[in-house]
Amino acid sequence: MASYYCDYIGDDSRTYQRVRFDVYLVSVTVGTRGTRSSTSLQDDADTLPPILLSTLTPIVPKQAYCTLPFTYRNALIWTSRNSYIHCPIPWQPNSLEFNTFINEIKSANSNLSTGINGEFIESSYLEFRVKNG
Amino acid sequence: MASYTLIPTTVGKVWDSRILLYDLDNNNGQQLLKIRTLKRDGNDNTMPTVTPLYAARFVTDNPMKVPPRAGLNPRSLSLCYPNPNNATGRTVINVYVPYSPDKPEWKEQIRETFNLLGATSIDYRGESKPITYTSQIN
Repeated sequence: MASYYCDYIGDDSRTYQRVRFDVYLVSVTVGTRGTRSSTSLQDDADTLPPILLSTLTPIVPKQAYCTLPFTYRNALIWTSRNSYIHCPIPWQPNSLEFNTFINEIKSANSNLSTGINGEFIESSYLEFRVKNG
Repeated sequence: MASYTLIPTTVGKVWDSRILLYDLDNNNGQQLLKIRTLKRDGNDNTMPTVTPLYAARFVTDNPMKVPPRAGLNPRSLSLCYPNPNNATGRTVINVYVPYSPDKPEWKEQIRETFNLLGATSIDYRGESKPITYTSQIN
């Protein structure tokens, strides 16, 4: 599993700094949840859209990184009929970077399909965010 | 406000049919969506689920022009209410968020929903959809 960090901008426009993300491959067979396995930096360089690669920085062992208090935006990039790459989308929707990411995925030739999943924020944190800025 | 048709369901819920102008997450796109808003639950309790900013995006144009969603799951809020008359003990209602997150109305609509609809808890789910490849279209 290749691990990276970058700043993440939530749907609520807040920037979360130095957040750690894992990029991994999931192999799926019918009737199972799928099995996670590692990707290498080279695998990711061949698969991920260029704008995402230029945003992510590989983590340095023994340094501290943040995690998010909600489920982050992500993409499932299907590279074969039974496996996909799971990667984060760290930009706010409708931003220049987000639109570039979508356009780069649309023009990719090597992938079978891609699904975009939005954020999921639970009630207590959502209420805190909308009532405090 | 738009006129609407009441659609009673088999479990006694009453819905309003609406057409919603929805901001897509990318390229400043917009799309019309056919939606339903719950007016009365199965126990004949009135369930007002429309706030002013939500209602501001209802349109009255010819609904025959509304395109299919094609895998699009719009941004939404899940409102949870206690309901002792239900087997689950609760009622969950979905309210769509038609404003894209980069607009101030996004936060205002969520704030309004917290303040006006009195739900016990409100979860948020962002937009999800499949991407169509340019190479597959050609």
